[in-house]
Amino acid sequence: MGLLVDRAFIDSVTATPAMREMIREALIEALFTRNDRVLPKDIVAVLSREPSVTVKVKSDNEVQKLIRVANGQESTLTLGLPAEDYHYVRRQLGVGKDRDIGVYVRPRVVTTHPWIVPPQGGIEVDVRDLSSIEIDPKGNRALVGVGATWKALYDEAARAGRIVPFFPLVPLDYGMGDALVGDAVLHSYASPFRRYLYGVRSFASHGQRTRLGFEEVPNHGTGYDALGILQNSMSEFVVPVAMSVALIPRARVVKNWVYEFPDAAKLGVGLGKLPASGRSLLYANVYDGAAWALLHPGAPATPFILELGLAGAPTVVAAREKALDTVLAGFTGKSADTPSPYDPEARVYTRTADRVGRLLVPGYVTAPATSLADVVAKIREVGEASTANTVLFGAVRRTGTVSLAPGFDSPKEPAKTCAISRRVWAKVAAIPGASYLSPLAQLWADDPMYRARMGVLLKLKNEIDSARAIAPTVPR
Amino acid sequence: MERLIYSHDFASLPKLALLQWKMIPDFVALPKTVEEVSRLVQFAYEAGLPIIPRGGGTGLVGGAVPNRGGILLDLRRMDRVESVDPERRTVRVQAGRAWKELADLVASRGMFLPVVPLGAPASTIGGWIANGGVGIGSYKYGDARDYLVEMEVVLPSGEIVHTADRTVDLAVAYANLNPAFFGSEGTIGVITSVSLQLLPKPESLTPLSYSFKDLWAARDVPGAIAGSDLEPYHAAVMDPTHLALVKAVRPDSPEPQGLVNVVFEGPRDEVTASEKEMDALVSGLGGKKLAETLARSQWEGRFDLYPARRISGGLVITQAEFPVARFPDMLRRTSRIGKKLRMQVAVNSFLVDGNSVAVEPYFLMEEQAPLGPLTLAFVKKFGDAAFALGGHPRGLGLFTAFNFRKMHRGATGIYEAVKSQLDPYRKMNPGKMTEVWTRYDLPIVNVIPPEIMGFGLDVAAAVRRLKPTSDRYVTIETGGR
Repeated sequence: MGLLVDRAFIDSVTATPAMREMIREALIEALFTRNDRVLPKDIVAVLSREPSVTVKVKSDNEVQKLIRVANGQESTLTLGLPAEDYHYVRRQLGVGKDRDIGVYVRPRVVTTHPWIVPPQGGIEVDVRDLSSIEIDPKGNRALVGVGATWKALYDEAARAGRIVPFFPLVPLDYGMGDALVGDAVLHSYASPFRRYLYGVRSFASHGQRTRLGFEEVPNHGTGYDALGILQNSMSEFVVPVAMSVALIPRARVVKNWVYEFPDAAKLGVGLGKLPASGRSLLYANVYDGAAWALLHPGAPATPFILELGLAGAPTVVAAREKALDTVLAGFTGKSADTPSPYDPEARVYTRTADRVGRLLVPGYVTAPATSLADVVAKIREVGEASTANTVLFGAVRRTGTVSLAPGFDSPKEPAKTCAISRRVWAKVAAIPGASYLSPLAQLWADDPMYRARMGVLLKLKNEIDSARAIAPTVPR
Repeated sequence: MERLIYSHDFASLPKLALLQWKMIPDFVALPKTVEEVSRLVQFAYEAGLPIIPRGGGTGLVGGAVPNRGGILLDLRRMDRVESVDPERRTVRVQAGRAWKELADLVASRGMFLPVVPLGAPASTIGGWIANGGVGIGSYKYGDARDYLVEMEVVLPSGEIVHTADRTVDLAVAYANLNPAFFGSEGTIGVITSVSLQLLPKPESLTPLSYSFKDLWAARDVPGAIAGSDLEPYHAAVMDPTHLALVKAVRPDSPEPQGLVNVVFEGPRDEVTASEKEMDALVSGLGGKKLAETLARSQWEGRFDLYPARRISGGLVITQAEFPVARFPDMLRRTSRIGKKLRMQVAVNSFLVDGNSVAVEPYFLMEEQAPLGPLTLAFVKKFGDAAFALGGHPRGLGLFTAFNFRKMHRGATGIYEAVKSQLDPYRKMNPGKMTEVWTRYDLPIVNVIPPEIMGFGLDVAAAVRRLKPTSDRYVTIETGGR
């Protein structure tokens, strides 16, 4: 249930003589689609396991106790359970068996698809109730439980006169922890999410409280950026429970502008010029007509939309408006008074997110913004080949790159997911400077440097999770 | 004799330290290629010698100074700009190039390195990244990590690796090892070349300077800027003591006063609008706008903050990050520490982001004077103040590694795991981060426990307090805080 666990498992499987015959990609496909006819029984057994118990935790201390049970520091008896509960928990967890009992954190929302190797028994932790949000009254930051939703943080910050400076690439109802334990991509025009993540409160495999980074200030010059190293697969190293994130003060003027474009080529030209304009933005969201219609049912059909979030002093924003109109020449319509896509009340936002959540999103594409037309054409070709309509969500960064999450209105079946993912991967590989990433594609990636880096991370995992209590790797 | 040059960095250190550390390297190598670095690293491993990577030597905490001799790698000959891609706005550069040289080069091609160190003329690409690069431009653009596409690194095994994929958006990237080497101080590998993301060159840049009666009068400025909707490129607060020290060397420099320097860059119309907004904000706090010529001279001298070094036998700078809201508390505490230790301390600061201010106090030191070296106790006391106010000291090296456990507490094991996995034989710049080595490779005396080092500095502070008179290099007439 994670990047490293999958990678280690695939590597161990391909190392066995019986499986060497199978080419790596075919094996990955067989594992992902659960083609049990071609897989040995012991592998099928691994893929069939489920967590022994799911615990909905309500406090940090409960997480700590669960880890201590998993690593053997604490028996279920010392948890103060009555004898029958003790025996039940013991049996459920398989205490005394020769397998590691892991603690697994379940993401609230998964954008793409689950990892190949499921929890191997053990304890699945549902963190949705760790949802406290504390806004620092004197600073521009918040301490947020990993179970709190991004939208709840956004609303709470707005009430406190702040703006959350990072936004979900795909408008799903993410938990904040999904950026650490799942595959949620939070973006802003100015900087990667990393810049706004100050610190994470977590528990390590020996049950000790572990604060990665700091809470009131960012981390500079204090040794390795441990928070950064673990960020994208944190739940394979520690169990995160809360995070400190930077906010920005609410500006006197906050605007959401919508530009309509007749085609991706014209939009791509505009996006290419955006960084050179030097204009600051909160976000620069890109949608194709289908995505826009999904978010705004009943809205007039438009081929492409660029949605800009602006914040600043009145005179500064006024200067920005004229300039942006010039930079984005080629647009066919503009609305300067649309509400922010993040402002609707929570239940409306959730309802929209549910609609979006039905799409099959195989992974993320990154490309130079100027290549947008090429990327869009290639993704649509994939849609046609897969007999599915495409839906495109994207965001542009100040650096001039665009990140796209292509969605397909196709059943979320493993075979479909695998086929579409592979097609997107193949198409994107032909675009200079573009890349495709997904939990599946990272397994196909087999270049020696990538393997070396994964080797380093795996060694780190084994050292940091020395008690083998946090999503342990699965030996074959 | 040449090896002596490498026995210190920008910080002054009393000769007494040589009893504790063998700071003169046994060998100095000046490699030109990554293959040479790799071979040297392998040789060091085979010879059982520590290997210490070093850039421009602008560090402040003894991070690139040997503690047990060994091979020092001076990387400044690896200064080639390998490629510039104007279309994707990236540059590939070897780690020994100075930041200012690179910034000038890319500027001549219409591009912009958004963040550079305060020591940019000498500080090297690899050196600053390995020290957790935050500096000029950070308030608007973040730190060097945000512009780091990927690096080529020689691991302690001699293996050459690339830390990330060049095309993958780092927000999404798996297996991205950039963060491991950012702030690593050369303890797990030698950074040999780097790909950086550039931005388009801004249309205009306007430096502004505002005067306050003294430093205390400017105490609310960082908080006001951080709480506003303005987005300066850089905002710094200068201490009258600093200006007095500079004036002692350069008589034509500004009079001692609380000085706030703010820089806006970007499209001309926005810069003009922002200037007016900033004028109103600072005026509301009692600041007076200074002439454009002075503001420009401050901006041009931004990399030359320490000319006062020539007044005395030494100059020590220490660094920490504090929550912006605690800036006045920091000023009070720092002033109190200086007074107690009978020292004259200049406190310069700049905003890092909307929550954090980097504070860099410095003081002059007479190594030969009785009790002179004991001024180093200030470093310990200032670091303690940073912890107490919710911040942290910056920089780990020979002189400050004792802060390491206090910084990371329960996460210390994770840092140790990084070191032990990547450098299991402790050959790469060892004994400066997770532990402090001495020059003696003998049991018991081979390591200085952080508590003992901290205690020693506390004792130094206690002795300093007994000094009947204060060290005073310049007289300031603006009043105290």
